[in-house]
Amino acid sequence: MWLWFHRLGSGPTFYPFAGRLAWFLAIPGLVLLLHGLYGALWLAPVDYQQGQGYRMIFVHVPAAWLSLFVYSSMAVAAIVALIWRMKVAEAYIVDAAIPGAGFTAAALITGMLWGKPMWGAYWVWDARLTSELILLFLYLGVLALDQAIEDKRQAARACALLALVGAINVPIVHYSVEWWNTLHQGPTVSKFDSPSMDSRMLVPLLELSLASTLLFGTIVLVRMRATLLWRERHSRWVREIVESGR
Amino acid sequence: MRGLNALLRRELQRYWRRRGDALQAPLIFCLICLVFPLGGVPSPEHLARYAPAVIWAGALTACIFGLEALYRQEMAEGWVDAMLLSPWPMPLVLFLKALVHWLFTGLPVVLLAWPMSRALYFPVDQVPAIIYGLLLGTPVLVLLGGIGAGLTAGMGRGGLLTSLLMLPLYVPILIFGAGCGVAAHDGLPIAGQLYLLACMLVAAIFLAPWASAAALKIASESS
Repeated sequence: MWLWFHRLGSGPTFYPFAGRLAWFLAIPGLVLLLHGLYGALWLAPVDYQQGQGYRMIFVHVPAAWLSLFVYSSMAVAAIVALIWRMKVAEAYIVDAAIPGAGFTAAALITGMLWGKPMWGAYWVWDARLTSELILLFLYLGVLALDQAIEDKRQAARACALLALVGAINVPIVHYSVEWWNTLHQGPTVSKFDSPSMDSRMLVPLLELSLASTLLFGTIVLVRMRATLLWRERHSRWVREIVESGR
Repeated sequence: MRGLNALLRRELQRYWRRRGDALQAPLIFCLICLVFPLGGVPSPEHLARYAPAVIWAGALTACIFGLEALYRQEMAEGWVDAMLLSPWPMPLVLFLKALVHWLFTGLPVVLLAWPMSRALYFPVDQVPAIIYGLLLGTPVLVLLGGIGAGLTAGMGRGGLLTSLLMLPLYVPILIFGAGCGVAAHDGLPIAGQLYLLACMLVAAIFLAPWASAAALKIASESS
């Protein structure tokens, strides 16, 4: 088990494995995505209060879920990268941060588009919105740090430490923002206050969340393959792959 | 122990000899406090309402500007490598360094916050709330900032990057520190905020030097 874990951490073993795993995630991801979209956009009934506008949730919730999931997975990869100096984990941190920042931005933008007709404002200083915005800045910080350091392995280790410190901070930020908010204004609109959902809405929502997680996995594996090829471009296994034309 | 004493003396001397440089942070603090009355409505009720936010915006900016002086030169001079090779535990060395740094850049800000909050018409009875908040909060800013300063220590110019990395992490301290002043202004008890800030300070004292040491180690590996 440990031997396998260590071997997987090296480029020559990981590269073909990631290629197969990417397909393994992409196919069920795409099937679930199409089925979930069909359920979300055609089968799910219109909300009696929000009309068609509520359908934004089918993009918003998967994006918001992934924004948190990706950051926590980066923290796990950061621990692995700092302790075992595993190249694959180092590659994961930055390669996951780019789609992660994208999902966070998507969650914010879809939330704003939904908020304008429902709350009457694009932005309110609600605890959830604010901590999501800070999360976006944490992602951008990791990306900026990676850009600023020439030596990419050193950059990855620096990003790992930053991601780890950030991950410890995320719950503190979340609770402090919540506390700050409740201090300033009374009850705020929270989307989880609503009564439990109709299963015709809930099932596509869960399907789409799972589908986007699987597709995120695909994207990140493809990116990691490219990163590993580039970082180890002088090594023999890369030359062999290029020469064999696979 | 003698070595650590010498280290402490060296740090104190180093900052004392460049006390002009160390004064820049408190000066920036004063200037930021000046920007808000000039840029907004200089009426007492508006200024008093926003005084905690203004003071904390100034303290955050001053701290981040000051972080530049923490490791950049030490890195260039090879001090960091020497310390990594020395028998003393790096986190302890960095804690002492942060302490001296706070004495010369954080403490003046705390002291200046008194006249500044009065200049912003903050009620005189409530000024201690701001001071207590800063007294507990600014050391956390320096200790946490050491992590960001460590990560960027090896770069030619990392000042902007350090602020980009650190400001999101400073949010909880800002909320409780400024919240302390806001609560005092509204006549509410401030003990809760102070306890939470003290909690963060204790956590930062025990954890941040380790993270800073790891950051400096990563930054010094560039070869």
